[in-house]
Amino acid sequence: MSRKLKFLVGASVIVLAVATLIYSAVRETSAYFMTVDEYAKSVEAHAGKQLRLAGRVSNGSVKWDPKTLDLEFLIRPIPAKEAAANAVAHSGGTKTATVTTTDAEAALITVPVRYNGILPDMFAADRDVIVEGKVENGVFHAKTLLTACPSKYESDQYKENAQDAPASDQRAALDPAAAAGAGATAQ
Amino acid sequence: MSEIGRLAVVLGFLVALWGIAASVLGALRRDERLIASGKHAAYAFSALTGIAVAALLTLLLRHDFNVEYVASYSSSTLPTWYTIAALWGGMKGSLLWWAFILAICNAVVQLQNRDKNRDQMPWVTATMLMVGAFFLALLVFITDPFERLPFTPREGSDLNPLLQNYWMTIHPPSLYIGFVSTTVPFAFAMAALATGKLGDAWIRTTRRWALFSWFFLSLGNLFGAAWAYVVLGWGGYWAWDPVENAAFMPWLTATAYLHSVMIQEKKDMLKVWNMALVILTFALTIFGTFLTRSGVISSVHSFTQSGMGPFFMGFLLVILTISIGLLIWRLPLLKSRNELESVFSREATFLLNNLILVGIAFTVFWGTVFPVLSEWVRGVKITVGPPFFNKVNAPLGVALVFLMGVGPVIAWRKATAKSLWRSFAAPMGTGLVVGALAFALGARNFYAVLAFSVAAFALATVWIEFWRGMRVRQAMLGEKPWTALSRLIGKNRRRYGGYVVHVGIVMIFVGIVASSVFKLEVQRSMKVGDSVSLGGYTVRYDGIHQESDAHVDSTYALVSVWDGEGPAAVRVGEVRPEKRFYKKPKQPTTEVSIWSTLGEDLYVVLGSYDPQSQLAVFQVFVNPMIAWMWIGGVVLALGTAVCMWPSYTERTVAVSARVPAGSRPA
Repeated sequence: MSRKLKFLVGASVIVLAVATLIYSAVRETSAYFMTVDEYAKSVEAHAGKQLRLAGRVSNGSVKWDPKTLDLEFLIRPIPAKEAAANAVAHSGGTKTATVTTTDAEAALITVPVRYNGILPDMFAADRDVIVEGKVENGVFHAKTLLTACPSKYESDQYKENAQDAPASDQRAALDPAAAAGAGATAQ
Repeated sequence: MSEIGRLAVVLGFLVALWGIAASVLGALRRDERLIASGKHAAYAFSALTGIAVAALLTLLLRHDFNVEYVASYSSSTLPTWYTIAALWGGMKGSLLWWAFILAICNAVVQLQNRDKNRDQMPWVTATMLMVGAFFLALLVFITDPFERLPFTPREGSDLNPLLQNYWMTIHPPSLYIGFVSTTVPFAFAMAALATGKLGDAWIRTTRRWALFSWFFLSLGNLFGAAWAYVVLGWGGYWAWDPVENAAFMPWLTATAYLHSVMIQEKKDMLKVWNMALVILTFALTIFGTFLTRSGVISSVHSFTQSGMGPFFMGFLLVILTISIGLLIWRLPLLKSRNELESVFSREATFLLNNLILVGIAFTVFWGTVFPVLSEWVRGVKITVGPPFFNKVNAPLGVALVFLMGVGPVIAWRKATAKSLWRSFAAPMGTGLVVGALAFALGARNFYAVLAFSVAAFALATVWIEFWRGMRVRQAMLGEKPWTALSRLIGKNRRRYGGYVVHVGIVMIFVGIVASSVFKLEVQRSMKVGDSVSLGGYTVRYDGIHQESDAHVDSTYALVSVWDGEGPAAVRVGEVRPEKRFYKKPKQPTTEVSIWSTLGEDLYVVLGSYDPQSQLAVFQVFVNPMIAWMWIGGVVLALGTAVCMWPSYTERTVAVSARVPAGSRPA
């Protein structure tokens, strides 16, 4: 075997090893990522599978026990209008939104979620969350709970209220309502 | 002031376009006047971008809330230091900041090469101005940082509280410097391809730049980890978030380049590979900027979505097409005269190290874009999380550290069995002993034992290198130990500086392994006086305090830290985990409190506090050996400084070049 060939074989062994590592790790650790209404259409197919579910926390559904750290809430689809706006923004305007439910329909579809642990700072009713875990007996058992805040690093609240000065007072009036909406807030 | 800034950006963009045209035409027609004009345009671009940044900074410091950017990212009560940080806190500002760093790099390159690399410089200028023109074009046509509002708000909405942190003021600038300075080696590589002067000149010119950019990429990543660790409060420092990955990938390819370039210098091999790595590193920095600003992949770091994705994608395609096109065109000139002789040689080890580094970069890339790919191919979005990256990178990381021990010591060309034995018997022994020791002390995780073992192996080879070098000098030149050591390093800064960097990397590696494998965690709801024990520590909840100022309401818990468990525990200190509620962007944040020792960090989070029931929820982590990551970072920085420090000959050459002939002392 020529020297060149030997090195070629050696290099391909490494490439193959990396590929195998990736392949097996993807199989073992991947999760389907979907919105609540996408999930609602295929509940059966996803029972017991690792899922990442994006939705909005239903108003008045949050139950939190600070002694046991058990958290229960319902998530519903993110209303179509905002989801579409988000989806377009998220794809740089090249992709159309996949969510087609109307607000009225959206209010009816809910998925119960259970979680144990500390509440994330930004968790509250009417906030968008991403939960990761599995569904058992119709209940989503979340291992992780992420608060998806589209403006996490940017203050685009500013734009919403910027129409009439003075903006800061208005914002002050708007935001605590959102923050205190949940049954349990951090404060 | 905003008019000045806006004008500077527009002029900077136009000047950059002129500079590109003049430089390229000048180089093609060998027209010195056009080339000179391109050079002047490059200086003008730097100056104008500087003026634009100065204008934005002035607006921020003056609290001119009529300017949309100022109103969105600062307020009159924001501390000055963070007001400056607001320059890169928002998307528009960060793009201008990027252009600004490029402008500085460009000015330095122009000055450094005013009498050098005459043939290459027009192409270098054109490449750098092309990148500069792209960023300024975004500011001219898409998002204007100097945009004014139709009214003047009384107050700004302030910088996001999560960004109001010490690390956050230095993490983004470091990363940006690291990202942007990769443009310099890239520009010289393009110039080498364009001119066909593919010898060592471009590599020697950019060696220090490559190291400089690697240094800031390393620091940027570490600062980011430190920020995540002290601010985000989930007990970790790295979540394999797309944006972290975006910063990590160019670091990996830059690391690969720093190694493979030595093979080109010494053996005239791997020329195409080195070109490819330079192109890849630069492309990955643009890709990283694209990831954070396009929202294609959702991430906690995302800036507001802006529809900028297609522009970045287009720019990336243009860069890749031009650079890969040039590379293919010049392939015949890049043929190497040597080839590998043996698998047991330094060349082969370096090649292997390169394959693994690029392999890691590829796995990270794959995991990052997997959701997008799976949606295209199968119509369903499948995500992979941290377990994927950890699983794939654990074996690759261990292999890399092992090679780090082998590479610097193994013989060039072909190592004999005898030389292998002489070089590696002692380090191998050390590795085995440490592995056995870790096992005896209770480590039962396969990777952890293996990792500690290879780490000890790599450290031992470095130790022996220093030791032998010192002994030789002592014996041959009769020097005292410390003199011998400092002269050993001084005579060969690159080599011994590199070893010091390796020691830093091993420290960081050990810190990462220990803290991810042996981490302990407990969540507990407690009343005042309750305590909880974890990993040899006991924490007791002693009470709650509330404070308030104009900026923030804060609630902090007094928690005493006890060494040991049960009645034998000794009180060693106190931590104050805190919950803050910022008043301006109404937002709660968690301030963790850390009791840090060399052995481990006790990391205490106040989860929530209920005034009615007086119950406080705590999350307590014991993170082993985290401190070694930060110490390793300092060692890495020192090592890089040793590498970059000009050698004695370089300094004397530089000085004598500046002293006109004739005025030199006899």
